[in-house]
Amino acid sequence: MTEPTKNGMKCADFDSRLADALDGLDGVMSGAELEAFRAHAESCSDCGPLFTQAESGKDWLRSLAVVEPPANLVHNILARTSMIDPAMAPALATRQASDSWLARARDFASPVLTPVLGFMAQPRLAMTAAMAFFSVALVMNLAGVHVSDLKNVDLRPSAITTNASLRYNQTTARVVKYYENIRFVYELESRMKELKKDSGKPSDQDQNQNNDRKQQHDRDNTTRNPETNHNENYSFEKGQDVIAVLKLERSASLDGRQI
Amino acid sequence: MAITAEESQQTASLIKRCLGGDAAAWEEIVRSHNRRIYNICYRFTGSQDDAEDLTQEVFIRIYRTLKSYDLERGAFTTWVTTMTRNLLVDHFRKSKQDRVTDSMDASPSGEEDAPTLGDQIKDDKPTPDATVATKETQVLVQQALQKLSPELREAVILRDIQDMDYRDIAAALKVPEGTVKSRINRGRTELGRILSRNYRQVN
Ligand SMILES: [Zn+2]
Repeated sequence: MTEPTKNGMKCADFDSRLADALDGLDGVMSGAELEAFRAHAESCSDCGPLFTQAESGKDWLRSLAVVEPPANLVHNILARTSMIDPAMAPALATRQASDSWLARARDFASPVLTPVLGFMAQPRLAMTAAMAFFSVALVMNLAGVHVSDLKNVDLRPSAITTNASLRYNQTTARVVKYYENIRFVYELESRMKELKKDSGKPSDQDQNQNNDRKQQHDRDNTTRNPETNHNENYSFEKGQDVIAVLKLERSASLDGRQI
Repeated sequence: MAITAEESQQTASLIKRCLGGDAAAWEEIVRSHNRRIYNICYRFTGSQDDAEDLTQEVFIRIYRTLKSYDLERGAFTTWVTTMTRNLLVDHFRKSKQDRVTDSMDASPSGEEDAPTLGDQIKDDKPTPDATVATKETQVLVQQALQKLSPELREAVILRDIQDMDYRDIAAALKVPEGTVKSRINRGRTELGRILSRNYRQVN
């Protein structure tokens, strides 16, 4: 390109302002500058065609439509990222370490399990509750489901559906493991339902236990603030029955084996 | 691409959740960025299959390096664009040797001036239908885009198709803004030249 000045603008300057002139971003060019630019384009045999071509090139590009990605693209991406070796994705893989399975189990089964876990928070009864919960695990174990599998599965409801698609394409071994995990969740869920149903017609003995516990609970609650007190009382009552039956489970399963 | 404070805050919390192991958050990231990445890849390669493969590769790379993304140093979209662009450059270098087989702009003989774009379009049955004409035009522009050097191609794709501003393009490509502008100019000019030549043959 030559260096003559035409209409107060050098060809080199014209070139450097070409994008600014065409894009007109944030008023980078003043009215006077733009006028000088256009005047140069009209009078310069080098820059004139350049301007026309750049303008048409820009218009062509902007006429291109957005392309729709294939429908299964997101699914395929999720399937592939879920297969990544945990060692290579440390941030996403080490989640289980920081987030205990118990916490996530509570998130998942909160309507059913929260009363139980809240109950466990009371030291005096924690041992009983722990034993009761352990007995559920034992029953599961006898059914061929292992509690250790819980460590590898995300139990939040949102994650379960995601995981279902995430793990869809995994190797056979992983798929089997996944279904074991899911089975655990379903078994836990149905077991809880069963227990709740059973507790709908509690025995006299159970009712006596309930009353004992309720009194104990009320005593414990004297130091708490009234608002949470109300909630916990409510959930406690719901959990009460569960625990009672869980205890029966324990004694039944103890006869089985282990512990 | 003006990123509002609210947007960047949303992205920040999404990434945080993702790093905390939230699979739903990762899915949200994939859902909100896959279309854009796919389009960049498609416009750069001109191949739907390549675009699909490359988009997957981009997300695998994002997944593996998400921890290294520094919110303070720039918008997430810019970071994603850099990642996409780096993969496209790798892909271009790798496929340079066998361009004849895997690139749709290569003529059957592999020679630069065997059947021109105009000739190829002319071979198609001409229809007066407006939407078909638009489709043909799209193909024509896409094929012309394929003739640009990768530097010019990526610059005009980010500017005119993705509508990024100079500063964001400069950040994504890691070159000065002046270089970005000059590449945009040359890319547009070259494309305009190719298309004005071919379009005259078609009409
Ligand atoms: Zn000039």
